Amino acid sequence: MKNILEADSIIVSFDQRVVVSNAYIRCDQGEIVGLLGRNGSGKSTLLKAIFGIGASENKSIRVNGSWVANGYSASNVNMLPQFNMIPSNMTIRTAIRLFDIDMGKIKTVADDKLFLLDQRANELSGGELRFIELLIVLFSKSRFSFLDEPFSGLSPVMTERALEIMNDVKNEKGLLITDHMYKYVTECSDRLYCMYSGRTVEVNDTSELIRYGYINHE
Amino acid sequence: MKFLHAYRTIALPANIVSVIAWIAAKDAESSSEIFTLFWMKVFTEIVLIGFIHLFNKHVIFFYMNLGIGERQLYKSIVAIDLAIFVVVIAIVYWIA
Repeated sequence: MKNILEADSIIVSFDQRVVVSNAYIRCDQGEIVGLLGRNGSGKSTLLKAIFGIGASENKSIRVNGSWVANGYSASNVNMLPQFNMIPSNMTIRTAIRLFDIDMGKIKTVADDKLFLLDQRANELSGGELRFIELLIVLFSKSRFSFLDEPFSGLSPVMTERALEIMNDVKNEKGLLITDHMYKYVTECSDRLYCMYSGRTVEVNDTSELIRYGYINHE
Repeated sequence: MKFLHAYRTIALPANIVSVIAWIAAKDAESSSEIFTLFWMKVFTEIVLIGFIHLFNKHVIFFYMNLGIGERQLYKSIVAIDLAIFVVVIAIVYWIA
């Protein structure tokens, strides 16, 4: 049976400004769901509300039909935030061990990065750290992974590699991704949502993104 | 194991405060002075947790990805630090 994540009735406000208003999103195991939207449209806020960080006025999250209070609990959802998350004085090997990730998986996809394992997070370049954190989130044991701007700081070669890994990993878990490199997002996504006026709108064709003011032309 | 790693986030400043309190406890003449040191420690603990909450959000994300919620993270850090503090201050007071 494949895992299904559904979240609806999500309302988040900051200083009386409603950022996310009654949003709905669904993600199934075996698919990559893209979430696009203009700056400040509430994409990250929506992901964080489902994950369980930050206050939300209302939310309903269901995993395989069962209600859960927060995504992070019971290894349902893990999340790559926009910023680096590994504590700066922690070695990459320690981080991988804490997440109980099979080192063989890391070696398979990043054998040229093994020299980074014994370095501390603050000794890596921004792109290297981003790629390692992406691998940790993708390979850790959770039913779903949220990726908030996973390609920021990655070179085109590393981005292509990340997309290949994501396509392999989606067989084991559902992936929800948001990034402003929208061509990569539309290319890898099986389904697309666009945040518009605080709500999520399902997008079937990239031309609809023009209507929602996300792009000017295809 | 995960909680000990979380504790390392504040270990340095927390232990500096503890060492100052332990030195002061050596010369304490009554148990009320020990209680004053304890409340001083609790106050600095709140300041350190506030620092993580406001300026170290990335650490919270890291531990949430390990299944440890924000409140659970704070509680475990405080519990470990206060446990070490109380045990050592009791030993110091008893020896002195």
